[in-house]
Amino acid sequence: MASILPLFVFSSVLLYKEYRVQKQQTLLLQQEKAIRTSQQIENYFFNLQKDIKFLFSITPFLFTDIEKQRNYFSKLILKQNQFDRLSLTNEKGEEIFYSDRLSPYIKSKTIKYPNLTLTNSALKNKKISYGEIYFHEKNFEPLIDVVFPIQELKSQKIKGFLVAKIRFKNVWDILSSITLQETEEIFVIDSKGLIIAHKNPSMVIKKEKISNFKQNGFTQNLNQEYILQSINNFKLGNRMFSVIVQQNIKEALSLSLNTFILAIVLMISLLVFIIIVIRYINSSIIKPITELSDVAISISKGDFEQKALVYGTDELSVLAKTFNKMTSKIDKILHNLKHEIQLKTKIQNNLELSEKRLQEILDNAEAIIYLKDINGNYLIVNKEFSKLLKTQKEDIVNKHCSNFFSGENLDRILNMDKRIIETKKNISSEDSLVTEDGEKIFLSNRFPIFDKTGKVINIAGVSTNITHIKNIQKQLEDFNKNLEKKVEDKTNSLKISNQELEKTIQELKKTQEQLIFSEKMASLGSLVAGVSHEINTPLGIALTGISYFDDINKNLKKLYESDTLSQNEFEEYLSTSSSISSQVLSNITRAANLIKAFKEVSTDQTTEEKREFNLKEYTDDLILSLDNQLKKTKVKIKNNIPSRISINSFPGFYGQIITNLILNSLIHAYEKDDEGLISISLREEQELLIFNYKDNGKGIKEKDLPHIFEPFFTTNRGLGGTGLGLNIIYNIIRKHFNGKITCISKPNQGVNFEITFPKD
Amino acid sequence: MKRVLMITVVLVVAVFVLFNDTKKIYKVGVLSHAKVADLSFEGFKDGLKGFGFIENENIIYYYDGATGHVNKLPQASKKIMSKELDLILTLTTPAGLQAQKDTLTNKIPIIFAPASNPLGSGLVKSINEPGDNITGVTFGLQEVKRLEWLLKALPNAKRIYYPYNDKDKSPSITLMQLQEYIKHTDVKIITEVVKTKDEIINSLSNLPKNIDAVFIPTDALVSSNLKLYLKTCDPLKIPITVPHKGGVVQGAFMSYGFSTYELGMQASRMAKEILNGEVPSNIPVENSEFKLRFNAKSLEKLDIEVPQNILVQANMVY
Repeated sequence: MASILPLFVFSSVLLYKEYRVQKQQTLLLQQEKAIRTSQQIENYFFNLQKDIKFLFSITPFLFTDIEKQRNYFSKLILKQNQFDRLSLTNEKGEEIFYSDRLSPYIKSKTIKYPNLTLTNSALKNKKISYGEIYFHEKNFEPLIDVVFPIQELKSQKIKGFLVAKIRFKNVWDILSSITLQETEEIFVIDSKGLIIAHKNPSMVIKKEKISNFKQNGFTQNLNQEYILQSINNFKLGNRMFSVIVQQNIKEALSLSLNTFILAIVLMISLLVFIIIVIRYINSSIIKPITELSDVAISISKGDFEQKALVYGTDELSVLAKTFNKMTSKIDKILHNLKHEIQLKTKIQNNLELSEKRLQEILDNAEAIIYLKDINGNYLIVNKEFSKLLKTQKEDIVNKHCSNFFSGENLDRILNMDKRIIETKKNISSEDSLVTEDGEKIFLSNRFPIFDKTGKVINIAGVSTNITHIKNIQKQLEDFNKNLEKKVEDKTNSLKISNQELEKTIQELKKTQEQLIFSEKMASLGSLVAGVSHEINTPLGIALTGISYFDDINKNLKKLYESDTLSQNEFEEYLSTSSSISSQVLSNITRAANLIKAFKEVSTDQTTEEKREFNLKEYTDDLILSLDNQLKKTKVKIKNNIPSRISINSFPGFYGQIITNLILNSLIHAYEKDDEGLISISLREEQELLIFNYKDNGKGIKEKDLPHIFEPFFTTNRGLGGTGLGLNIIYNIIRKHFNGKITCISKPNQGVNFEITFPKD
Repeated sequence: MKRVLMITVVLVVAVFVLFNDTKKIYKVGVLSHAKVADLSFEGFKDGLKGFGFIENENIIYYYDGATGHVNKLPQASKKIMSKELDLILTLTTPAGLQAQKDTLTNKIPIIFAPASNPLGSGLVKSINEPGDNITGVTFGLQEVKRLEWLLKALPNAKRIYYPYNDKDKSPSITLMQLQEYIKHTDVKIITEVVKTKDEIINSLSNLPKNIDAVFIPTDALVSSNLKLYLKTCDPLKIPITVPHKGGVVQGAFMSYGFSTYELGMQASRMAKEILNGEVPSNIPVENSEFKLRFNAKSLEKLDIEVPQNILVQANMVY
């Protein structure tokens, strides 16, 4: 990078020089244009002056007649359109006449002074006087008044003035003829900076003024753009004017700017190239080597994950590849080694754990377990074994069995070991061992352990202490012998109890039947009392009627016999007797019906014979028979049983069911003056008849509901309830109708008894 | 290495684009309405040529027009508008008005060369700041001066015949100025209103008697039919004055006014500024330059003696 710094400095110096040279050249060119233009303008005015001077000199102008003078003026105006107006004045500046480019001459009635200030100045200085720039009122062109004194040739006395309004527009054409470069401007200003000629007339007509008209070189133009400017001043008479040439700095210095841009582009290109080369070297040589070294350091620290980057196919890449191969091989070997070690450690741990577990199992076993070599030396023993021998495990292991057993026991052990080695088979035995704690009996199983070739290498043994079991076995045998006798005694005693129980049941049954019968009789008694009362009333009425009939008969007989019977009296007798007889007849009929109903009901209740009867009619009869009880209450009974249903069954039992249910409702469901409604309905379902008996009384408490069909269950025992009503119904339904009864009830929601039985 | 090569190519292309400068070809539409104004186009072209705009090289002109038929102007205008123009040159006021109407949306710059009364006809808002997309060269300020010159040339002329189209504002305004000038003299202006060519023919067959001269005003209709006037007046030896050089060339005896060719040339200076990026509203309307011209042949034919001192001041046309 440092190598391009001198290049940069050298280029900068060259560029600066180039810039200086071009600036100088541009300024020189501008200066040349400004000078040339100034000269052309000066020449233009010089020629105008010359024309006028010539006019004054060729003729003794002052002595020419006025018409000629006017023609001279108009000719001057027409010549090049240089003048807008030419006026002739006397020495006082008073206008004599004028000739105008656009307007015809009209003589003024008053004295006019074309430009008194300027004529006075010219009079004083005896020189041509230039006035200020001003603008034409119609076409807005800039004009300048120039006063030429007219002198008498001999005396040089001023006799009058020619006031010329000179057009500046012709100067515009001079400016237009100047060849300009792009963005180059040329214009003329007066001493105040007012633009009086410009290639763009609007700059003049809009009376634009510039402020920086004294400084050559860099400045800003009216649009605040940076420009390079050259100024050349020139004089017209006593007035100072300047030609200004300006050019946009970009265009003015375009060559050096282009060179600069080119140089910058080249430098940047060079820089980019150098950077790319450096980056290339860096990426292809330095970076791979650095990375390789970094990777090597990392690997030396044990990080085999690191890999050298392979960029291409060059030597460094081959080196990196080889290095990577080597690293991965080392890594693989290390990895395998690690894995093996881990595996072995794991196996060892598992083994240790396994041994520990085995030892734990052995130690926690209630049996005695041991392992011996074929020479009789213990290799493994458990806690129970250690306990039996009252010796520490460490003191047993690797010692011969003769150290712990002696005599007969030792002989038996050695014999058995020998047999196992020879036969290669298990030996089970019951061994007895006398210890300090007494005699112990063991159930022992000894077995050989083989190597891969089938050779016995170890003998193992498991001995379970069965001393306690042996004792229990003995006790059980003794108990069995006593048990048989005890059972026989117990059976005899049970037989006697059963007989007593059967007797009691029989008695109970008898008592129940008696109770049922007495209940039936009580019911019948109540029925008889009720019916008697009912019959008594119609019979009484009939009796009274008949007695009255007898009286009127007697009375009629008396009248007939005395022959005083009038027709009216006989007709009254007939009417009264008819009324009495019909009343008597109806009452006696009612009594007869009552007796008939009672007869049927009472007969059925006593006879229990099976016959065909209509359920609705029979129920109506039942309700009628209970009229006496019902009258004492405000309870109504509604019989909703369809009239078409007749069954062949026991009307007496049926009547008992309905009567008991109604009486139950009247006793238990309602207080004395309660209004109530009992409804009885029946429906058929296939071969079944289903009765529903409902009341809207107090209902049954939840705790009582399961017990209502039990015998002797009553909540009204104090008032004479026997507690058998519902039990009788229950039994009748079950026995005589082969049906069932259920009850649904809640306190204050009445009862609903549902009785279901087959039609036949 | 590929990257290095690619960057180098990009840099080379960038440098090429930076320093490459394609030259623009300018398109200028020319809409004419009066044959008499076509000379202006010649001056315009020559003027631009002087500024480096060479026809068919870096500038193309599309000329179309409807000389004498105002109702055909919209069609002609539409035709040239389809060329994606940089500038429109209009010859005469009606052409200017048509172009102005057709550039309401696209604002293509317009230069009129000439338009007799741009302010009165509504082409511009003011002479100083024309506004919008139009500017150009006008004439007409010199008309009273022309009458002065006419009276100087024909000192005995007392009855001046003034045919004009009263719908054209320019001759109407001029008439008022002329009448103001002759107020205190024994000169009389006899006016004749003509609106069509037929009316001109009709008026010429009933030309008032004792006419000393005919004053053709800056009137598109009347000046375009100069030939009809010449045909009638020449045998009667009635001299005709016209506002432009072209009329003198055709046979009118005198003019004090503009040269249509020079007017076109004057307009080319404005065109150069516009093509270089200046907006028309920044360029004030300019007045044409004026010259006194006599037609020597007509003087002879009409048997007119113009005072010598006047003749010597003028540019002669043979």
